[in-house]
Amino acid sequence: MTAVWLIALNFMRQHRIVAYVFLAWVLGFGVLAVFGGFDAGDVLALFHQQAVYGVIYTLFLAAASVQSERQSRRIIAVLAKGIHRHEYLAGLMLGSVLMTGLYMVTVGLVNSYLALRMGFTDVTGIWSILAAAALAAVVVAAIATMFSTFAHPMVGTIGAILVAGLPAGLQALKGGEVSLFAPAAHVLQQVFHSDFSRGWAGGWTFAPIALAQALVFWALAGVIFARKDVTTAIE
Amino acid sequence: MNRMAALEFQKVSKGYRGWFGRNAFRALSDFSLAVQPGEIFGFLGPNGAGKTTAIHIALGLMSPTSGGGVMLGRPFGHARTRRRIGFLAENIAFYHRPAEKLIRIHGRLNAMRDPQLAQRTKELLDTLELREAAGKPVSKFSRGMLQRVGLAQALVNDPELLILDEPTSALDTAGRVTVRELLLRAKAQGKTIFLSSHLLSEIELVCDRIGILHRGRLVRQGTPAELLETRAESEITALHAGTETVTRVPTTELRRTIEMIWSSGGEIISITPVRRTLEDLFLELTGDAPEKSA
Repeated sequence: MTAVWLIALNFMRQHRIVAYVFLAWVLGFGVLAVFGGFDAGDVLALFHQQAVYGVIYTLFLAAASVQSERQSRRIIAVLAKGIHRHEYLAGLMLGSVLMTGLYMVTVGLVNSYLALRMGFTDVTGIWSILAAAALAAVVVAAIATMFSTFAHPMVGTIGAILVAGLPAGLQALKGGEVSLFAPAAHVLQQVFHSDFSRGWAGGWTFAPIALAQALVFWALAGVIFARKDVTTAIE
Repeated sequence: MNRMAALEFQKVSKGYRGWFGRNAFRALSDFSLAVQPGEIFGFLGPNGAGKTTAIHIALGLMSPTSGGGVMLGRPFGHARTRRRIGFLAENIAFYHRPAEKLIRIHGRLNAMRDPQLAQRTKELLDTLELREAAGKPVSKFSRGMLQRVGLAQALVNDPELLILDEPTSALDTAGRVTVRELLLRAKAQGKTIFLSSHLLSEIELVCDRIGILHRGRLVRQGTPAELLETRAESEITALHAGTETVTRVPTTELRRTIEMIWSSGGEIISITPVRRTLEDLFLELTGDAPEKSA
């Protein structure tokens, strides 16, 4: 477990510039909302957008995770140590999710402040929506990390979108609700039905399904990655 | 096959395929080699010979196309066995952390804990003269300094088997001497060292045995004496009318030449068996010019 934490924390450090940009973006909009006279509707719309971006942010981070470590050759020194490939992937996944967690907490704090300023007395609804978005981010991280073990980040991103969203997208086109078995898509759809007063509107049945899917995709990623050459000869 | 080998490659082949079978390339072909416990084995070969591929296969970073091998009694790629290995890669890259923290991270990745880890990190910072730079991020290091950090992370877990891919390539003379002393000290402690290098002088100075790889095949292996003292020639230094001359003759002609010198009134100063250099042997086997040591 120590190795997983170490890899996750170092992954976060390596990508900290991206995190700073996202955090600045959230804080910047918070300042703009305060001084720009945004009304409750504007803040909610912005909040929905920020919650969805959190999931997309994880997608991009995780889809490039293995490839970027391979390109930088940092992967060699790490995988030459006494750790398994699936532990390494768990570290990268955890790093992606922790970065998203940091982002979600910032979104939560900024929007809680804005909600309290606008007269809301209870902000637990904000945190329940963000918790659902964070669970969606966990699934997306697992799917995208799986693709990053063998695909270019762009291909991996498209692949992860298809796996996470296509079945749900087709279902939505028919006018129905997105299946709970596409938890990431379910969350992205339901975020827009949620608000500060009611909180998360999508129910929590999807949560164990999301965690189970994340485990399955992580295990699959481990199986695929164990069969991949980490390096090609530089000679 | 030697059951006791610390590192053993058994008929390892590795091929790369391009798209639609184009640019297919065979990096290793039926490569077999056994490194005995406690020895320093020098692994030589020109660029593209397959040295790094062989090392990466042993560490489980790559899978062989066929064949396999064992490292410290376990098949290649066994994760927990790597805790007993130290590895320094060529063109090493690290997380951008301060040197001391980085060494500690690599120790912890090998399941080391304080106080042993703190003690070992301190020792290595001193030995590799990194103490003053311990707090600086390695992203600001020169290649030579980075190489020292690379050595430190390879040694932090006090490994039984040390695999070094070009460990002295970026080091200055003093750095090379430090590394050489480190290797000899490690050998004295009974550790096994697998040393891949272009620097023939380094290899010749420290290695118990040498293997030469060319186009993915092991073309020669043996002790330096076996490899270098096989030419049946001797060098005679003689003094003739106040002039010193050096003559190289086949050993079969030695007696006749000495008698000729004596009969012409000359004196023999010395007779030395000719020892060909590792560079001569390398060129003979590979046809490539190796990198000269600085």
